[in-house]
Amino acid sequence: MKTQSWLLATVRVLLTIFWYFNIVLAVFAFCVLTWKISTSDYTEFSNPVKYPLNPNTIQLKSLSPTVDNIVLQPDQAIIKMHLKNTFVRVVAAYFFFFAFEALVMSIIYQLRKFFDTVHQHTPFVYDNIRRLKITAICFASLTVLNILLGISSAIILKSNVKDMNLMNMVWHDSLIGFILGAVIYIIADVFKQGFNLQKENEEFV
Amino acid sequence: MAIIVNLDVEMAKNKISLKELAERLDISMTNLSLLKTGKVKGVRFDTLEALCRELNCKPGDILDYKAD
Repeated sequence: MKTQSWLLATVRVLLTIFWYFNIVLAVFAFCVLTWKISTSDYTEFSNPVKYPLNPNTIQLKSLSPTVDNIVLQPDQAIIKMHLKNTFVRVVAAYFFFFAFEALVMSIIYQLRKFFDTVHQHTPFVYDNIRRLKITAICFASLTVLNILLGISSAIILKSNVKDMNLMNMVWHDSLIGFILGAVIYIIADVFKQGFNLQKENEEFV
Repeated sequence: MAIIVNLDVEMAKNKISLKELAERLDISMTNLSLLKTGKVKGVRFDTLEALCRELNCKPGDILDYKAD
């Protein structure tokens, strides 16, 4: 039980640090974004892409007789370009900024409140079920937002770079947010069962 | 509900107040009051045992059944 208390206290402190650090970071990022947009008429855009061909493959020497045919092969590169700050792009930049920040802050806020109740030894309350469900939806939404960001980058590349093949774009399409969201949603359901059991137990004298 | 709690009758027979009985049973007055008014879902056996001991009665004296 002592280890658990220590662990809980550490998680709570870490979440508090993340919370305030994220606020500072968000304010800083907002200022930088606004300053960049207002002082310059272009934005630097970069996106990782795959090499369409593998031109210079380098053969490396092996140090062990059990390993052979070691090849150094260029795979990824970064496309950089100056994008003119049009109205749509500025709106998109602010949208993604606020959407990501809102989701991250919501996740940290809900988890902070959740751990507060765990620390007070009252985890089976209705608010925690709601908090866990909101966290689950936020994690899933982060993945959706990531996919949207990838699509936006793809549109920018496809519409501005000649001979750009979308198959050569590096997609960061991790589905970990969906899986995490599903797991947290299941935990919320477990908490609901716990809440009902506790309520039933309290109705016994 | 079909189960009727006759705790007030037994309390009156024993001339014991709600506060005193709650103290003797080591349960809160709120819970005992809820039990007395029949607003609980169930009674634990150890609570029932303590009630019978303190009120010198049997479970059937405290709980009764009357079809709705």
